[in-house]
Amino acid sequence: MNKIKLIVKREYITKVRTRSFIMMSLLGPLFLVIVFGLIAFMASLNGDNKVIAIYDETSLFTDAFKDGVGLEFDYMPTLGLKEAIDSADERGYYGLLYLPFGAEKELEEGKCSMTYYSDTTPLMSISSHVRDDFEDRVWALKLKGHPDYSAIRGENQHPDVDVDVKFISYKGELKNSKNGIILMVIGALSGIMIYMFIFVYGVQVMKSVLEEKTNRIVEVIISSVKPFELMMGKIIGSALVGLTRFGLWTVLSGILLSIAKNAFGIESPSNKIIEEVVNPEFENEMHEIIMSILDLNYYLIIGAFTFFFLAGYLLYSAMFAAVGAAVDAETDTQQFVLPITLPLILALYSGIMVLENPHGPIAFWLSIIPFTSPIVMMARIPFDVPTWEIVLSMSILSVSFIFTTILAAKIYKTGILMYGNKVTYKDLWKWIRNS
Amino acid sequence: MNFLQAKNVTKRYQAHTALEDLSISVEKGSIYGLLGPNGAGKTTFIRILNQIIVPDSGTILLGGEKLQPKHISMIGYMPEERGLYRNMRVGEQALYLAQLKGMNYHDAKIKLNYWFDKFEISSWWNKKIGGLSKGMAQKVQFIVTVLHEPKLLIFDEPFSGFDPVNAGIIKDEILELKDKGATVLFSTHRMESVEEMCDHIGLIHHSHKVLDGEIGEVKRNHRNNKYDITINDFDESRLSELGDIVTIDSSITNKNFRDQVDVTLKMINGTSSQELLKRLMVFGDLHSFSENIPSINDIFIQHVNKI
Repeated sequence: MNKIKLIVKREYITKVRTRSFIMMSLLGPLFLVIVFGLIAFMASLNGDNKVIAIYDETSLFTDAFKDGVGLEFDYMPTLGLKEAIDSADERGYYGLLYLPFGAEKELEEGKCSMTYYSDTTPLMSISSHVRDDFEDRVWALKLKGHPDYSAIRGENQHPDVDVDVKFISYKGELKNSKNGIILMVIGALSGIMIYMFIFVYGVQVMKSVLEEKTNRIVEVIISSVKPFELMMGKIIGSALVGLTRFGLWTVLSGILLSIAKNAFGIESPSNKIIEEVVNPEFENEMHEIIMSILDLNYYLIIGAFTFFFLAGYLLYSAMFAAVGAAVDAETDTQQFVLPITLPLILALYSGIMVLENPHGPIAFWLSIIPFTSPIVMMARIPFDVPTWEIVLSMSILSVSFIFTTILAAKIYKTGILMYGNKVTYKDLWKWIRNS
Repeated sequence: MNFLQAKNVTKRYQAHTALEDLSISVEKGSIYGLLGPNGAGKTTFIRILNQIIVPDSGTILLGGEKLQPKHISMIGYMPEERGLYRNMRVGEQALYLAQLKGMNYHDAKIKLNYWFDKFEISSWWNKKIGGLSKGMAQKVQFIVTVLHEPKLLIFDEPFSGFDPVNAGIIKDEILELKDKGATVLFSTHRMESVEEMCDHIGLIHHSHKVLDGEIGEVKRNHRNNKYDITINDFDESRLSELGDIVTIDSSITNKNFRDQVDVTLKMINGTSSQELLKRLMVFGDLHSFSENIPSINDIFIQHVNKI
């Protein structure tokens, strides 16, 4: 055990202090922030006025919603909800706000609900504008005729009413209230990051094994430790390097994002935006994006990333180690590396489908099958995946990496002492069987 | 007392047998030369001693005990194909390898300083191995091999890659370690170093041990009644006059650079060297006369070619 620790330490220290590691650790977060900045910038370019249709069955909210910066309201005739939705869809409206009949009665009971139909999740600035106007009117209605209206209004920011807003797409699907584009970006980034981490650190293990084999130090080392200890030490050491980089990225990105947050005048996620700004449209968008980013469940994302990186990496790195042990030179690795990376690449490319339909059957199965699950599950996680699916995926992945590690160790043990022969799959099978 | 004893060790791979029923004994504090052509099974045997591979049958005793994992720290092994991490510094690499052999950091550091001073290479401590010459790296490797004061030292071709001066230094170090009580097993093709250093030899060929014993005894057993003679102004045609005591057809004659003739004669069994000497006197001015004792190299070639 002590010896594994030594091997881990060596593997870790020699990798972490290289110039490329330090550079990448610093540049990664910068890159991340630039990507987000670009997204925000591009989103702000679509600066047309957004129109929200109001479908008010109660007639209580006439003139309640006031046009704001980049935002207009269009009161629709109450001729049928379906028609109104269709026409909002046709006209390319940003969304439709439905105030159902009976709201008045609900108000008495201390609650009020409205439904927001849209194909895009509304920007937070818009939804808070709408909600404010809505609450204002509800408040006014409750206190109708009260002489001290303005005094009471001044003391209380919000009426004593539960306001329930449902987000539904034009087609009638219930949606998450979070910003859809941001979820996709986070999902895609997580998936790509997992892919990169598994690939980069898997290949690193392979190279490290190959290095020891080609410069023959492996013979000295395995006269002191068991081959399995050496292999595991390497795998764990590289994993720690990966986690260190991920940790650095997380911390540095956090710092950079909060600098960006302050630069755009956002106090905290729950507060309202400052209204007097030079370029309100852009600022709002920027704020929106940063808010949506800050608003995600980071404990889940970082926790899941750590797990799926480790487990996915363990699954693959053992195989990479076996390849490194089996061949004599880096040029010979290709024939074995390709089949290993195929599922990884498949997972990456299917990611687009998964992001478009994060709860569909392809997304589900690819996030359960162990060879693709780390990437696909990570891409799905920002979209609120049911817990049982995450647990199932994690369990299958864990069992699989134990299994591949055992097989890989057998190949590794024989391979590191074999020189000169071009190894075939038949040989690998023989090594597995005979050890 | 035998420090290392291998009894009937056999190791088979799918296609071939690497070692068949090999038994050797190495006395404590001696140097044992393990000889054999490439592919004979030497490396397999050394790997078995290092517990890198397990024999199919047979037993290995080290200091009277069955070979087991705790013996790892008692063995120092320098493989033929040397290797160190190129991108690691000399000092930290040596410390790492010493700790893998079970030394603690502190002891390893002290011992390394001693050896680095002894070899006058202290200034290399922070250099990367990749920046050292092959011979320099070999010195580091030698230190790493002996640092933990192993009771059994295994050297596979210890002198390859060293210039004559450094080979001499390493040779002296090995002899000194032997004097301090270490048992040395060394596998080589360099027969002159075997003759100089080994107390015993064992010859492995085609997975079998074909010869072993104390070096002088092995040589004595391979005496073949040949004598080397150098005569001035020798008329080679007169060689046939010796037909009754010498097998003429196996004699070799050579003119050397001083116009003397070197002759190797194989005597017919039962005749004495005295008689040959007497008969040769009349041939001319006899310059030298000595028994031709086969070198280990000759013995090696003789055995390898026989099979």
